[in-house]
Amino acid sequence: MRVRQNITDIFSTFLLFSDDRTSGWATDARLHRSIKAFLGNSDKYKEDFLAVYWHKQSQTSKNPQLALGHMSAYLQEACYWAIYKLMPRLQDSQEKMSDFFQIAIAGVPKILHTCNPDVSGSLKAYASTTFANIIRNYLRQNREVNFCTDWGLLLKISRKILIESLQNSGYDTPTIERYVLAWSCYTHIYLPQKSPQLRQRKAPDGEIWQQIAVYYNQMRRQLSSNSVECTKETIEHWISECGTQVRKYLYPSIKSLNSPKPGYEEGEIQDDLVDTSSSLLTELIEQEEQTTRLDQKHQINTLLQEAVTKLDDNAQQLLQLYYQQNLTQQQIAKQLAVQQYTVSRKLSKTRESLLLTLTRWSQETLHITVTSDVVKYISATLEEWLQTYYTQKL
Amino acid sequence: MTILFDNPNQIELEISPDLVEQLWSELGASWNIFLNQVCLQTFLPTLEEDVTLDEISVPSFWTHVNGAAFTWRNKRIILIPEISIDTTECTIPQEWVDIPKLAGDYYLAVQINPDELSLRVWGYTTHKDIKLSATYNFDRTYSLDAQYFIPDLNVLWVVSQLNANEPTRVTLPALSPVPATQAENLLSRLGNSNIIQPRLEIPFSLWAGLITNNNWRQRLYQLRQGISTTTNLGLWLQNTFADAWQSLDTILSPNLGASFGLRTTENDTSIKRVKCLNLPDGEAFLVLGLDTEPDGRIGVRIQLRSGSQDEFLASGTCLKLISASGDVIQSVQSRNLDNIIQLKRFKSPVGVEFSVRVEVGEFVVMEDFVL
Repeated sequence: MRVRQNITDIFSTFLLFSDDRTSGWATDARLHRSIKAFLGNSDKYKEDFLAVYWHKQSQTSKNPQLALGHMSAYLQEACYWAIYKLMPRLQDSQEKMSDFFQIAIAGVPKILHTCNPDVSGSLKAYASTTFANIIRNYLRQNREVNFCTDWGLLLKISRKILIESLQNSGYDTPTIERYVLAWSCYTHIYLPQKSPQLRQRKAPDGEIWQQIAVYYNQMRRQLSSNSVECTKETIEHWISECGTQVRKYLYPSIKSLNSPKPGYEEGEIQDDLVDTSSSLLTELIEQEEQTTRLDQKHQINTLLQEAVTKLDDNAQQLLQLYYQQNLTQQQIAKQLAVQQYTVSRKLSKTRESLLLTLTRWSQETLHITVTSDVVKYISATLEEWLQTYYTQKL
Repeated sequence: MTILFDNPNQIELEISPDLVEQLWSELGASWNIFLNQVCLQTFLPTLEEDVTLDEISVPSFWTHVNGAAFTWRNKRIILIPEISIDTTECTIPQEWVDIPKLAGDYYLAVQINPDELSLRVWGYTTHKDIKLSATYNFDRTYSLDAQYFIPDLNVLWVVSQLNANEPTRVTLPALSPVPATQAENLLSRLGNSNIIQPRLEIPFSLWAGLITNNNWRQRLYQLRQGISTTTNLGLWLQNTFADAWQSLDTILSPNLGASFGLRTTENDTSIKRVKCLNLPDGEAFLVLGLDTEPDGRIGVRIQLRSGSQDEFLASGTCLKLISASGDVIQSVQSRNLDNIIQLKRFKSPVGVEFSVRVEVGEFVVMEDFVL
């Protein structure tokens, strides 16, 4: 993959794939016009500054699509590398890299929403970790969908998945409400009796349907719209329908993801920029010196290198095997002839001690207040450092 | 077990097949109890420091509400186990969020796969985030999107070491207490096991009052399980006693019995048993003495005693005798520095039902008897 250097490209182009390999960059015309108009002939805006600017815009503007588009473009490399590094660790997955890329990049709006733009220098690292987590969750979910009967699957889905599946198939709100209630009754009544396994759950018998119907009729007054008394046949029909819709929605699922649509909104870009952003821009420039900076790359590097050499031999070896040789925890366990649990625990403990060192340093040197919301970025920064440090040592 | 998606930033644990087998055979069809036990017994041993398990982490609670609580490094942690494959949101029962006594500092989303016997803590959040950002559902739960969860538990470990006072909570309004009579009525209504989810059957504030009171919660559990909560005093006359009712010697020191006035004279043929009650200020003993009258009726003496001779009952502690129809027949209240209160001895024919109620402020415990 060719890494983009030009600032206009960084905020307006998208990675192209052909035959599951990257094949270049495609320019989104609207985003291109937008950044051109923004920069004019000036070169006073740097990449980091623009990232924070559009990050903030995406959270405050009434029409965030444009800003989301710029940020999605900006995070292309981060997404690519996160998946590139993750691929060797995934066992027998059928999916292509380009599919994973689409799934992960669709997470950008949520990443931006969770990430605090005032903690500068942390977005890329945080996004990388999140991209990898999105793919892990996606695979985990798909695997389970494949193993389950419809009846088992219905016990293992969330209310959210059910609602989305039904909305996806065009059901109206009162119907969805009734189905969700019926499903909730189903999950309360049809729990396993013989063993705790759920995947191979078979269809309920008539007696169970009757119980579910009784329960539904007890509960239906909680619905906001009127619902008539239900027979067990109706309930059976509804639940079967839920099963079908959920499976249709979850598998295959790539198409149903809401990827951000850059340059989608109507209206003049110029107006958008002038109207909503001038005050934000001034504010940003004034604020620049006061933001919490986690991007003291050089100092962090020295600090962590030192911390790593102070680790015990065991921990250092584990980090090398994991981050440098890119082995899975399972492979490491085999090589060291220990339980995988031991590897996983030791690795996690080692990371915790490094995170503690880095956070303590940030507290003392950068005067940050240690809260969960800040340390999550420090954790992402650490992960990024570990990956870079050990790749360079190779 | 194979862990497919290794990630050094998340805790994924193997659930012991032996544990599953043991819990399943004990608990069988009580899915929620099973799930919460599996979760606690698999996760807690991975924490290095000691944890204090919450008194609410018991079957009588889990049968209604999902989730378990414990205290760790002075923080209250709530584990929410789910079998859902969807980790884009977590569903937290309202009890854990809106009842001041139950609300926690941190909430851990736990995904349990009972087919693969794996447990994964996929993120944590705070009470504040739930209150500010979750959606409230018709079944009295909160759903919080995964973006409000921090996936790396190491973050929590580090924060707890460097900033033990991280703000985590939103102040909750106090819930008004449930009067004892109303609670008794609610219990008899919700005790019907045809009502599948009692927690949704009555207003939340009333439910909160019931479920957080150990005695009421236990009673509700027994009622719904069809376990009789009534002590059969007829059996006492045949020398048969439930475990909870001990002989006086096993609990009270020998010299204490005499000084407290349950005379053990040579002619005394009465049967005396004692049950330990957990009152807000500590243990107390409920003592019942029975003797048979010449006319076949039974004489009953009832006392409440402090835990030891050096302790006193909380001032204003009430001991009440209640008829089967719910009327208060006798009542006595402790003054300052009382270590014993007792009801007047009464005589009653065989077969009569009555209850004894102990009240300390808002706290109530009730015992049912049949002669």
